[in-house]
Amino acid sequence: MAYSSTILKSLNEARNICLATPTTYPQVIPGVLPVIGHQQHLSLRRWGSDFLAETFASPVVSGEDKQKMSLLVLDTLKGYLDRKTAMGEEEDPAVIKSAVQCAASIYPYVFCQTLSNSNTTELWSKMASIKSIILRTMDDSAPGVRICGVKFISRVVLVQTPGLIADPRRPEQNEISLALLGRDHAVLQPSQLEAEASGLLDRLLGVLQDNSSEALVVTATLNSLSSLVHRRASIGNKILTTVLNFNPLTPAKAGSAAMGGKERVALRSMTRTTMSFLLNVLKRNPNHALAVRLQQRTEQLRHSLVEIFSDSGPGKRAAPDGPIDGLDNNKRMRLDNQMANGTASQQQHPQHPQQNMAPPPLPPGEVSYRQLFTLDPDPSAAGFHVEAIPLHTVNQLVLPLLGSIDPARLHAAVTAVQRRFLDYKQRPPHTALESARAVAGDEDEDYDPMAEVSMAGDRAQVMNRLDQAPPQGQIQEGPIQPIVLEPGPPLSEQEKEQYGKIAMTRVFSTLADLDREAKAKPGKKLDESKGFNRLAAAGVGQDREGWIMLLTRLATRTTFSLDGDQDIKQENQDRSLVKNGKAYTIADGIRQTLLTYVMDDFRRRIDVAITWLNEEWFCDRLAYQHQNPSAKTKPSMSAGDLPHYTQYVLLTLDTLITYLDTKDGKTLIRFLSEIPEIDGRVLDRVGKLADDPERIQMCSQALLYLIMLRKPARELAIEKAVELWKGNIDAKGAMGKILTRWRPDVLKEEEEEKGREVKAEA
Amino acid sequence: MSSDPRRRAQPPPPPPPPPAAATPETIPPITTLDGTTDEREIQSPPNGSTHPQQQQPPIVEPTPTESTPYTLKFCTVCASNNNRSMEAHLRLTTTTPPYPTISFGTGSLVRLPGPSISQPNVYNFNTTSYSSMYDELAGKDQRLYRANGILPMLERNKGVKWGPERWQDWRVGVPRVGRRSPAAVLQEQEGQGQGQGQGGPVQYHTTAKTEAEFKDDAGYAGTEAGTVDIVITCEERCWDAVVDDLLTRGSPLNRPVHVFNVDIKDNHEEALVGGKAILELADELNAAARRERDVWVSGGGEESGFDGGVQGAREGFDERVPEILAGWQERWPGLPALWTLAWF
Repeated sequence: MAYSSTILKSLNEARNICLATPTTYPQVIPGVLPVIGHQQHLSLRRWGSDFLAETFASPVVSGEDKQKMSLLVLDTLKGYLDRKTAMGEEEDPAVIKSAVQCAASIYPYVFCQTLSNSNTTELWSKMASIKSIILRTMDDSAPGVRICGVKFISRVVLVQTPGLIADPRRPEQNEISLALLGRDHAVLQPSQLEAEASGLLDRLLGVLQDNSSEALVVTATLNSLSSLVHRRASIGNKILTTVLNFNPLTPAKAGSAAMGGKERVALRSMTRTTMSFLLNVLKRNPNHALAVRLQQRTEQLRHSLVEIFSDSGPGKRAAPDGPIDGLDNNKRMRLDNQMANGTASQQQHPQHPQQNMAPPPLPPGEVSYRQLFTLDPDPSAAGFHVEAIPLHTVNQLVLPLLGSIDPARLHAAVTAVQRRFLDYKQRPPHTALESARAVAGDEDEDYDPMAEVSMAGDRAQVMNRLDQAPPQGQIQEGPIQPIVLEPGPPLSEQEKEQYGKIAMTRVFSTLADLDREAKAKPGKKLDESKGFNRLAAAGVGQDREGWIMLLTRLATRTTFSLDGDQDIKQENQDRSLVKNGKAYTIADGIRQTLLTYVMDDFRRRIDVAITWLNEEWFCDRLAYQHQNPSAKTKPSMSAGDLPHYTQYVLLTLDTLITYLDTKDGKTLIRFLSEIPEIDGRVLDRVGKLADDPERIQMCSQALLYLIMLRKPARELAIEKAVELWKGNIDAKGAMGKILTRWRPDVLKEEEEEKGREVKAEA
Repeated sequence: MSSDPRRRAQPPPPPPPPPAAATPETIPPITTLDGTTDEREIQSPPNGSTHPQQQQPPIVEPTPTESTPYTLKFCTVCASNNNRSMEAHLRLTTTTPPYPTISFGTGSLVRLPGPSISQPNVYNFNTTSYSSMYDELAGKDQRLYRANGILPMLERNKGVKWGPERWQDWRVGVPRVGRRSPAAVLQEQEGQGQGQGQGGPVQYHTTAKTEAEFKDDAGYAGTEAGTVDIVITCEERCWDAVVDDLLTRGSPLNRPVHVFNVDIKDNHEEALVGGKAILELADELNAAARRERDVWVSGGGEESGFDGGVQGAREGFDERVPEILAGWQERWPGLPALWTLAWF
C-alpha cells in the first residue's frame, strides 16, 4: 500500500510535468507503462488507465506523437480489458471505462499506422483483439462501461467509413478514414472493414430502434452519433432517419402520472437530447434534404413534452386514490379560491382525456361536421393536422389504438354525438331571412339604397317579402336552408366549344404530367394528392389508367347520355356530318386528341387505343340496340351498324400503318388481337402492308395470327392471304407458307394450272 | 401559501445528504408513528430514493486506497459567468474538501446591468478580469452598483477566479496550468478591451494582476488536465448551448460528461438558493461516484478476488445519475432540472 502510494506520488509529478510541457509525453509514457500494467495494484491501474485516456485525448499532444505512443500502449490496454482471462478476476469498471476511452482515441492512430506500414499485421491484430473484447463484453458490462463502448463503436465506424479527401496532395491533412486505404493493402481489406462498420452502426442504432428507455445509453448514443452525421455523408441519412423515427416518449404512453421521478428525468432528458441533436444537424446544414422533417420532428417533440409535463410540475406524484387530495397545498389553494369566489372555477383544463368529461354542447348557429364530431374541447387536438404523421406510423398506430379503445368510452362518445345530432335537429330552423341576408350581405350595417335598387329583380323581391315576415327575434339557431343560386345565362355554342376545348386541354395536360412522372420514377406510385387528380379519384382511380378510362368514356358516352333518348337517332344521323367536319362536338374533339395522343408514342400507348376502341364498339352496340329494340341480329361492323367504331378503328389503323416499321409486328398483332371486331376493311389495310417488301413479314405474321387465334376473322384472313398470294409477287412466298397449311387446295390449283401450262407449252 | 397543520408535523425537508450515498435498493420500514405515516408514504417518491433515514451511510468510510479521496470534477455554466455560475463555483469550492471546479458563460459578451435596462455594461469574455470590471464600475457610480449588488458580486468573483470565460472558447483538454492564455493577459494589461459600457468605450484600469495564473482559481486542484466530469448549467438556454456546442465539436476526446441544467432565475437571491442546490446535487453525485469505486475495492474487486460484492455494488455511478437527479428534484421542485450524457 505504502509502496503504491509513493509510486502514485511520483506518477502524479510526472503527469504534472507532462501537463506543463506536453512534448514530454513521448518520454514519460514508456517510463510509466511498466508501473501501471495490468498486474499492478488497483490504484496504479486506475491512475494508469486515466492517464492513458487523458494522454491520447489531449488536444495539445501532436497526432504524430500519439501515433507513435499508441503502438506502445496496446499491450497495457489489452491487459486491462482482458484481465478476466489473464488474471482470472474482473477488472474495476473505472479502469475499463478509461481503457475503452483510450482505445477509442488510439483506434484511428493504429489504423493509420497499419495503413502506412503494411508489415504491421501484429499491430493490427492486437488492436482487433482489443476491439473484439470491447464489443463482446460491453453489453454485459455496467452501463458506465457500456456508454464508453458506444463511443468506441462510433469512433470505429467513423474510421471505417470513407470520409472526404480534402486535399489529395497533402495526405497528412486528411482525416483518418477508410478513404485513405488502397484496394490492395496487405492487412486491411476495405470491403471487410466497411462491412464491419456498417454492422457496428446498426448495433449503435439498435438502441434507438428499440425505443430503449435507458436514458443513459440513449443520450450517450445520440450524442456520439452527431460526429458521424456531420462527417460521414454516406451514412448520415440512415442515422437521421433512425433518430427521426426514434420516439423517446414511448414510456409516457401510460400517462405522465404513472411515471416515477426517475422516469420523468429520463424521459425529459432523452427528448431534449433528441431535439438538440436534430436542431444541431439542422443548424449546421439548413438546406439539408430532411430539413423540413427535422424541423417538424423537433416541434412535435417540443409539443409533446409540454403536453406531458404541463399538467404536473416535475416530481408530481401519481394521483393517490384516497381522499388525501384536499391536503395537497396547490389543490387546497384552488379549493379555497373557489370557496372565496363562490363560483366554480372556469379554468378547468381538461388535460386528462381519461376523465369522463361531458362533451361541450354545440355552439349556436350553423354547425359543421367537424364541430359535430369534435368531442375533445382541447383546441390543440382539433388543430392537429393528421397528415403530419407519416403513413407507416399511422398504420402502426391504428391497430393497437383500435384494440385499446375502451368500449364504454366509445359508446359514450357515440351517444354524445348522437345526442348532439338530435339536439341539432330539434333546433328551430335557421330563419330564411338570415340565410338570405348572409347571401345578399347585411344591409343593416351599411345601408345603401342604391344597392337595393340595383339588386337583381327576383332577389330583391325575396328580400322584400322576407322583410315583411314576422321578426324572429334574436334567435340565430337552426340550420340554414339550402340556397339555390340562379342559373347563369345559357352558354352559346361557341362558348360551349371553347370551354370544352379548355377542359380537354387540361385533362390531357394532366395525362401528360402523369406520363412524365411515370417516366421520371418508374415503379413508383405517383403523388396522389395533387389537386386535379383528386377529382378522378372519386370514380375510377387517380392514376393514368383512371384518366384514360375517364377520357374514353367521355369521348364515347357523353353525347350518348347528354342528348337524351330522342337525340340518339339524330346523333347517329349526324355522324356523317361529323365526319365532314361540319360540326364540332366535344366527343369528337376528345377522340381526335386521343388519337393524336396514342400516335405520339404508339408503341407504348397502343393499350389506350385498344381501350378506347373497345368502348366505342360497346357504345355503338348499345346505341344500336336502343334504336332497334326489335332487331334480332347482332349489330356488326360489316353491316354498318357500328358507325363510330368502324370509323375510328379504320382511322387508327390507317394512321398506325403509316408509322409501323419492320420491328413493330408485335404492336400490330396486339392491336389486331384486342380490338373487338374485324372486317374486310381492316384486313385490307393489313394487306396494304405487303406492298412494302420490308413489311411483308409483319403482314404475314399478323394474318397468320388472326388465322390461328382469332376464329371469327379466320376466313376473312385466309381470303386475304389468298388474295395476296395471287396478287402480290413479293408476298407470294410468305403467303404460300400460310396457305400450305390453311388452304392447300389453292396451291394445288396453282400447281395444276402450272402443270397445265407446261403441258400446253409442250 | 396555505398550510395544513398536519403538514407541519412532517419532518423538515431532508437535510443536505451526508457524503455517503443512499442505498435506494431497500425501502426502510416506516418507524415514526406520530400521525404522519400516511403523509410520509405519499411523500416518498415511488422509488424511495431519498429518505433521511436511508442516508445514514451504511458504507464504511472510504478506505484510503488512493492518496486523496476521489472527487468528481465540476464545471458550472451560466450566461455571463458572473452571477449564478460563480455563486455555484464558490459554493463548490468552499466545501471541504473543495471540488475541482471551473466555470464558464455561454453568452456572446459579458453583460452586467447598467443604469437602465437599455444601457448594460458589456465586456469581452476571456480578456476582462473581474477586478477590472469592479474598478470600472466602482469608478462610474459606486452607489448604484453597490445598491444593485453588482459590486459585491464582482468582489466575490474576484476571490474565486481571474475573469469570466466563455464556454465556446474553451478548448477542452488543454491543460490549465501556468498562466492564462498570454493574449488575454496581455490585452488586459494594455487596456485594449473592446467592451463597451453605456455606449462609450470602457477604460480598463491597468491594475490587472500580472500573474493571472490558473492555480489562483478557486477549486483549481484537480482541473489541471482541462477536463471535467460534470457540467452544470444554470439556465435551459445555456444547457442547449452547451449540448449543441459539444455536438458540434464532434467529441474528439471520447470522454463522457454529464451535462445538467438547474434552472435558476438570474438574481442574487435565487443564485444563492441555486448554489446551495447545486452543491447538494454535487455532493450526491460525488458520493455515488466515490461509492462506485470504493465498493469495488471493499466488495472484492481487488483484494478478495471473489464475486461476493455488496449487492448494488455493480450498479455504477453513471446509471444512477437519473435516479439521483430525480431524488434531488423532489427536494428542489422549484429548480427544474435536465440532464444528458454528452461527450467531450
